[in-house]
Amino acid sequence: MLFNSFHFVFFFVIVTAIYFAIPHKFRWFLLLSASCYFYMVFVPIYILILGFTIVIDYFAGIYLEKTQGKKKKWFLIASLIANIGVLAVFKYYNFLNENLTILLKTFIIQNPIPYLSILLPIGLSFHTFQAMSYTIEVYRGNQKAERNFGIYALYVMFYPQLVAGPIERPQNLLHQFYEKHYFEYERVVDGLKMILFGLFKKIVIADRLAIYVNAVYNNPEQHNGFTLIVATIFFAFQIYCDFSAYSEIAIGTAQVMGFKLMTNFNRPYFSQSISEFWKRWHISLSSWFKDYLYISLGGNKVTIPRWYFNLFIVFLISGLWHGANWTYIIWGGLNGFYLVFAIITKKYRDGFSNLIRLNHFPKINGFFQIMTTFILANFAWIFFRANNLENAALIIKKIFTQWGELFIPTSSMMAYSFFSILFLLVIEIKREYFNEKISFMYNKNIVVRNLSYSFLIILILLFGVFDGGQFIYFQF
Amino acid sequence: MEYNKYSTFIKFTLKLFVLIIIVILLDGIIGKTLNYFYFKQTSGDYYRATYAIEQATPDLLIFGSSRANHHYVPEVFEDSLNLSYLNVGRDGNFLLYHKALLTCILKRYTPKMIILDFNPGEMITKSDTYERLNTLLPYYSKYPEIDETIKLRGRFEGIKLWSKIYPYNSFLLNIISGNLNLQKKSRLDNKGYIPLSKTWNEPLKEIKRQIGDIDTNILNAYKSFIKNCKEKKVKLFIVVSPVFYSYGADSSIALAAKIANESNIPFIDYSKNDLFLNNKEYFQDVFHLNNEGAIMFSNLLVDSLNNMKS
Repeated sequence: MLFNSFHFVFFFVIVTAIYFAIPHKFRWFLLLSASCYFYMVFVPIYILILGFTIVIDYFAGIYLEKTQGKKKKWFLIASLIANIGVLAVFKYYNFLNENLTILLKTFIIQNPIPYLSILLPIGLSFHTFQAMSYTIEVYRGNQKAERNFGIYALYVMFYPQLVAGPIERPQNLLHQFYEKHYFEYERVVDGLKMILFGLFKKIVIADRLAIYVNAVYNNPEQHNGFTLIVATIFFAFQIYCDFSAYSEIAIGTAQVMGFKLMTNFNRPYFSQSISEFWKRWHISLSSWFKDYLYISLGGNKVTIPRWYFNLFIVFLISGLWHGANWTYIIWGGLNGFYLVFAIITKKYRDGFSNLIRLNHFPKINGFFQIMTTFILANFAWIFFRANNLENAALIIKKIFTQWGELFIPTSSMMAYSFFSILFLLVIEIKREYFNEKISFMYNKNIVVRNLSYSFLIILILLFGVFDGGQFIYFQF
Repeated sequence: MEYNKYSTFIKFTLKLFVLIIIVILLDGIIGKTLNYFYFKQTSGDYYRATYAIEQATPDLLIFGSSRANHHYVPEVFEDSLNLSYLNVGRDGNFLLYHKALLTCILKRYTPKMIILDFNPGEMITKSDTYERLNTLLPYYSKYPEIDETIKLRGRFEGIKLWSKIYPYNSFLLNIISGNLNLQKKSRLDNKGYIPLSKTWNEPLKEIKRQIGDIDTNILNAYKSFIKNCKEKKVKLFIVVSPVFYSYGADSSIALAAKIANESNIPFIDYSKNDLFLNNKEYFQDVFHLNNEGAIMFSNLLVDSLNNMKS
């Protein structure tokens, strides 16, 4: 079920109304049933895959708590293999097989392994990682094993964040299912505001920009470098609005019912370095990789070359997490390279900054750093968005060698796209730098508040793309 | 819910009610304003659709997508057939749109002749087939006969249309330019025919053939188009205008030709005409003839039509 659909509006209103109407002891069951329905709207049969990992991890959790020593480690490994195994089959099998075919072809050998004709279950990487965080935390002793199977299933399947995060941790979410939530005015209204703003970002900005981005990126051979740069910048805003919108709607939906989910985005395009960017972009995934992979590899408490390796490998795997395609792997690797390169060159960059006295003008320096980070992120987005590596290479080549007139399908479409980015920037700048001073949706005056809500709704009706379709991150 | 929570809930409900009233009022005011200016336009695609539905009375109407727009030169048809001409073709709008447009037009008057420009792959469902029907939204409820076609856009379309702004979604700038006559100044429009001036100079490449299932709604629209014309005794010609690449066996063209033959409607296919195939001189791009190509094609078609008459 898509958040930006009438189906979801009805679903959300009905589930929330019943949630507050029924006694607390039945609420987990309502949320679990609703979550099952929410997931089954996509491809019903795939609920069985979820069910499989839920059963495995539920018992793994209990045994992990009960046992010690080597046996405990084996239970963890078994649970991780089950989770990663499902991911491997549904997400990576055909990709690996395809690459094997190419490899064998070079030796003129035919690949005997058949391809699987399967659809990738929606949000598989998200709920797999959330399930894995549970078993790892139980293994580490930071979380007690959940005995109520229904509550554990709900932890994995909680519908607001089931298909595209935020990827929650058991310490933050599990206990909330036992707490009684009342209908609190401020909390409910704040949650609804987040949903409204999320819908605005998705329908008015992300889906609007997607029209141009898709037209250009799906036919890069027909466009020049200038058009490809504009499409790449549009994509940077599209993916930000698309994904952060999903997170805001998820967090808002949960908040209306009394649940607090973790923040997933914090205006990443104001980052002054790639390292900061990853602390502001998809925070729940970045922190997952940090907590469960980077630190497990030794983090920065190892030799310097090993530290660089740790950083690079984490981002490479992060790229692979996003999709079974070399474009994602290179995107991840590129981000890892940025980070390592930034660490290696920090001394020289600071020295250069001192030399030209840029550090005496912190605002100008900050602006340059923001722009540099944005350009680097955009360059990496080319790989993320390109349909394949050949297209990515062609796009980069054209950007550097072939300039011309900007492709304008219709002037109104371009105008809406530019205005939507401008509107977003105004809001983001206000939130980043002037949040305390100017407030519309959180203004003390009820008239200003009501007018700002109405204004957003009118903008959605006037400029929203109502046939935009699903969120980008659903495919992961 | 406990007692004090009821009061919170009532407070919330009342405030939500106030907000809904504000939104309804604003939606009504802005929607009415957009409606007023939409139907006051004097140029552009939106104006041309309204003009065709509400005012125009030419003898010959050309229906179809952008290929209709760019392929049928009015002077050729007017001089040779001695009929007044209007091209109601529209970029990115296909059979469902044209069937709806025809229904509205035939309710008001009966033209002598209609040419329907049919595209290769026309009956195959495309991802945006139903989205593109948004061009009909401003006519919703004003012309109840097209309401069913509009509702094909989605099962919640009726609910969306409770909003008075929604029918004009994404139209604001076009409405402004249509009222300020900006499109007339920037785009040459000769009775709906829009000549293309460039010659195609891109390298040749393999064409992606449109494959997929026949869309029942589009098929029914096509049948209705023929039926409506026959009922009103309008001379209908269905034409596949020239294409640059050969499409080979196109399932849509084959089906359309079969239905036309069964209904005794002339079906003229130029998609395999050697004069145009792979001839860059006559094309601006793969799908659209330039003015030179359009004149050539129009003359050929008019000769065929005259031959059929005699």
